[in-house]
Amino acid sequence: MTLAPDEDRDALVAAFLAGDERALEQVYKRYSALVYSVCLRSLGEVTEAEDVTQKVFVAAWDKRHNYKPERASLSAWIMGITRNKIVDAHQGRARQRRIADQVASNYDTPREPLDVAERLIVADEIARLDEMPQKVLRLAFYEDLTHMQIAERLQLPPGTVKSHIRRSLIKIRKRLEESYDGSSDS
Amino acid sequence: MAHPTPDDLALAALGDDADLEVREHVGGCRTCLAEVEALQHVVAVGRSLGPADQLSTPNPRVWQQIAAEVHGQVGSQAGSVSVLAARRRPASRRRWAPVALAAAAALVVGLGGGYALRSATGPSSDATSAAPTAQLNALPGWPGANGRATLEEGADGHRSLVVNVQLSETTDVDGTMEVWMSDTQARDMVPMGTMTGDSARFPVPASFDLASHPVVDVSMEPRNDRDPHHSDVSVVRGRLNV
Repeated sequence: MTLAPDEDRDALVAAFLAGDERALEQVYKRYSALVYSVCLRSLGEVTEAEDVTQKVFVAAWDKRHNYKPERASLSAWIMGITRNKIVDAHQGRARQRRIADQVASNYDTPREPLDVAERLIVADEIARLDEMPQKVLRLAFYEDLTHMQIAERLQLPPGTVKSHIRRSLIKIRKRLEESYDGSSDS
Repeated sequence: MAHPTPDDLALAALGDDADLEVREHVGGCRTCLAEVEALQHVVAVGRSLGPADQLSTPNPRVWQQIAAEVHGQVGSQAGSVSVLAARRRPASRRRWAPVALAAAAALVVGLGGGYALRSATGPSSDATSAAPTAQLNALPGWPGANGRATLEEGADGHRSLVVNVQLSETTDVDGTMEVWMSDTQARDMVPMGTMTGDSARFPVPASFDLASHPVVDVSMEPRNDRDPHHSDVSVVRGRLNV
């Protein structure tokens, strides 16, 4: 699925708020990999990550009336719920740990969900770029080529390479900003 | 100098700043510096990504569980009725009209089936146990398909439509089956939901008038079909004895 244009996203949000189950399915399709991956990285266990992912989307559905589109992007809101549910899961583990009287060192140090989310959002956005901009950015990021070298490698005008780089960086930045602005409201 | 172009600022964020003039300007311009720093953050995160920073897709059972958990609530939510109404579509332009005749034939069978079931439960069963039901019969093109639809009423008064569909084993399925309720003329079709397996349960809003929409139709919606309308391809159909 490609990134929905803004009006598509607005329509999706409207349908979601109105209680259309299909909209929930669309929202799940769009964000489940990110939510699940953040859970998996943060909790380190498939079963628990699946469980928390389920809780996130059920909570998003149950509390959809609390979501204010004018205050935060849907992705920010969902990532806020994800963060809360991960914290809950860690607290649940701590309780279990006390009950079982096990030592804390048996458990991985929890990864900060926000930090994990940020990395995965960037990975997700790069993966969603169109083929050519993605190729350009990967060469700039991972092969450390200058835009002139990339232009030569891909047989593109340098101006095109520059423009791809700018658009891609700005797109990712926008997504990162969206994902954090107002995420504490959830 | 004038502010560098946004393209040049993006290159500066990458460290690809061969242009000394750009570098000097950014060093002394708060606006451009802020822009470069914001982009540098993206670059820093992007460059630090490793093989572990890959998105994984959750197992399909996660969605199935969410759908199951959420499904029961939908019928009782205020607003869901208007959503249903907004999504209902006039029936098909092409194949529905001729097929309406076949539907009429199916209705007779459906009514008969319902009657037989009620008779079989015997006179001792009370009135509430005679749930409206319909035998769903195959439409031309789907030999061997059949199913059953039952309208159940929970103790809390919420109604749900339970639909069961079997296809012949030789049928090649490429798409999803969607359940609709329509009037007998197939003019107004209300989507109820998608079959997630052989059997599925759909909440029926309290205000939904079954008497005017007694026909249960199961369509095959092609894969990647983004059109919310009925695909015009019906698999089975029957009429609830309401």
